[in-house]
Amino acid sequence: MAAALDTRREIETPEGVVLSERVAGPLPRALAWCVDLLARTLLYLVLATGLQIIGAFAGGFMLILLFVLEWGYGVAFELTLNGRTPGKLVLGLQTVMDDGTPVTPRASILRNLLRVADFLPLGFLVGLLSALVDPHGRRLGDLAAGTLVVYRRAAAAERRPLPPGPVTPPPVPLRPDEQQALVDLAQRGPGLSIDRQVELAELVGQGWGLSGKAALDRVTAVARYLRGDTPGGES
Amino acid sequence: MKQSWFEDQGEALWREHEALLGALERGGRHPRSAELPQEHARICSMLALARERRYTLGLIDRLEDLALRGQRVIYAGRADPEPLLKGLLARFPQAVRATWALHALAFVLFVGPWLFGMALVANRPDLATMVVDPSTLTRMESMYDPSGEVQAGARTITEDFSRFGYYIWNNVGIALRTFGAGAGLGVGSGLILVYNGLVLGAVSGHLTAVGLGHTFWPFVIGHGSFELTAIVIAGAAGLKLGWGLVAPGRRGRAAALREGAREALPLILGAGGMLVVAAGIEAFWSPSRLIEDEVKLAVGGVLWILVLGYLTLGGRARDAR
Repeated sequence: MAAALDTRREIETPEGVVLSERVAGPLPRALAWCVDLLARTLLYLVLATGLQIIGAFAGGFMLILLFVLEWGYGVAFELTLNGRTPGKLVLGLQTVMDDGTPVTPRASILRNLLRVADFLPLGFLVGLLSALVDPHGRRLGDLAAGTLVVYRRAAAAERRPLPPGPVTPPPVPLRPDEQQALVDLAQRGPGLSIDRQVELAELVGQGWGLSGKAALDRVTAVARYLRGDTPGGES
Repeated sequence: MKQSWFEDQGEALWREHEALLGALERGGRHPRSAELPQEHARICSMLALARERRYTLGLIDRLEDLALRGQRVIYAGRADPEPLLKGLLARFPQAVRATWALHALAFVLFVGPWLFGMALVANRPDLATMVVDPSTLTRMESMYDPSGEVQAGARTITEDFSRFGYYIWNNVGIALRTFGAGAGLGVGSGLILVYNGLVLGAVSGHLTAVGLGHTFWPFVIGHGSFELTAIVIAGAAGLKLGWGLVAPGRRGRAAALREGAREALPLILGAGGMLVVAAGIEAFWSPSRLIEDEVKLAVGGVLWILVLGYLTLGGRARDAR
């Protein structure tokens, strides 16, 4: 619907419905990378200090640890934490396959190895260009692995009934999208200040010759009608 | 149908489905696991209905969330049905042979500058410092000096182990970088191959010129079989990535890159494994003073035959299928 405006990636499922993911842009991803760099450094310092107990062999193990953290950090977290590294966790991001399914081992290894190419020639310039050009904000590693970095969906709201009250049919016939906008407005009401609610309701009420609190009451009443609420309250 | 009626009818199913998804997402079991696909299909059709009838966005969001979570649980791993390491020992040499032309190119890009560097330094020893800085050359000289600290001094197992760690971190890291850089049109991989070839050529040429060849060559022949081959393979894997972008053929560039990456993955996994073996040989076998140089040369030769034999013959039986 609003694919051209929003950073949405639409996925058609085998069941024949279209689902959408909100793709993350370069900035939150860069921030997540910074958090990861910090986390990785801390992890190394803690583990390397711990390694000192084993004595003379510690030196060799520290280098192996450095190698493992440098190359395995992203893969290990993405595969165990459902596509999230600590940085992505903090920023509310998640790596998924481009069909919306969880990231696979092959894809995770590829996208993390190809970070080298995205870093070229300096400071992720290639990756930034790729993410700016690609409609879904993918860097080269994502393109090669077939992955997306998306925002984790907030837990979906539970059912939000309208407060009970009068039920009135709309004074003029409304198109389906107008009906949807009207009910959305009424349902979002409790999250807004009363002044803003009245202001928005007046935009609708103008056409019906209403203003002020009367417009808001009428809009809510029409929304109840459109939702199919009964006068006694939420059915 | 009015929305509130639709919600009344669906609410129980949505709640149950959410509980089921929650249990499965945490990797647990649920008594109604078998009903997941059926419920998912119902959720999807309800989502389509809710959109068609312009129900409120909050409701559509909720259904879309359920549908997406269901999709994740049901189709997880669809893109990647085979386990990553399954049959890798056979798939690795198969993949090498399937991309033999790129391996030939990587070989030329690596060995060409090597021979050039050696020839250059043999004629003009002073030119070695153009590629490698003098302090490195001096360190190399002292390393392979038969009476020096490294060759004649006492060695301990912990030092060997530290070196093992260093080779893992440095050498495997170089191979992975060579591969990853290939996505930059293959230029990155090519440059790393040429540069490393040139440096190795200059160093080996220099050491031979100053008369330390008799300690240098027996030292490197053993692990060289795994290490040098693996570097060429990692380079070829990187070129494979880049080739998809340069000449995608009848696919889009993104699709070509993706396919190339898929085919290159066994190559880089195999090359990484070879470099771990090489690190073990380089740390514990190559510098050993208990072993005669003749033995090292002989064993090194056998290792070369084994590695090249494995790459040319390994996995043939499965090829035929």
